[in-house]
Amino acid sequence: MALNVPDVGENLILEMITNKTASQNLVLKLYKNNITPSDTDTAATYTEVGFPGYSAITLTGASWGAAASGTITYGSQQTFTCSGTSTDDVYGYYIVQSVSGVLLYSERDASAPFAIRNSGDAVKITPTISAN
Amino acid sequence: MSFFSYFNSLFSKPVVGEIEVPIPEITTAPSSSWREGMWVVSGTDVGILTQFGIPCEVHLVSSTGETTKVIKVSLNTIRQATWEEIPECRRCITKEQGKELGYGA
Repeated sequence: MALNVPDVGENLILEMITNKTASQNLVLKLYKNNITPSDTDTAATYTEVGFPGYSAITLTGASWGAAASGTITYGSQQTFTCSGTSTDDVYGYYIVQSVSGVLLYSERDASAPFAIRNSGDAVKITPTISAN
Repeated sequence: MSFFSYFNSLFSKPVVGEIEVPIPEITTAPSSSWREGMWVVSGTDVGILTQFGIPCEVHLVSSTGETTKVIKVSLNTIRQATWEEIPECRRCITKEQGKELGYGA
């Protein structure tokens, strides 16, 4: 499923493009409620997972690769590893700005949900954005 | 026709009548174009259009805002939802912002 940029994200992106608003680092978060992203979403739409060992990951600007052919990819795959027992089902991820917390985009995995139950269970994501 | 009038008709520039070119009107009407991620209604169910295609994919959503079913439908069998039809817990923007996205009453 393609990533979804909600209305709040679109507005913020337009403001960053025009330098009305300064850009910030992005934060990658996993969500556990059974949500399909829509254009009316905000960060509050999503329930962040809380399995042992989980923490959101900040994607620093310098670590993104150079954009090419309308696509930009983060420098490395990001891994969220469970370190204990859990009942979380991961449905997808969402991206917010590090300071403002505004939702920029989100994506539900086509194969969701992924059950996180035991120590060692992991979710791996290579952040990639393609414009079309 | 005299010589002079014939001479003038050969070498004078044709008179072109004034042509009125309509100025395109730029409106700020609310957007109601189809797009992935928009709220739609299929029959009596509300959902989110997730993928264009033949058929399209729609994720039906319950009143609690969560996905209940994935269906494949033809685009001409669905319509954009109204603001009131979007589950309340998923209306995270104002009604006015919703109108601008085409979710009018």
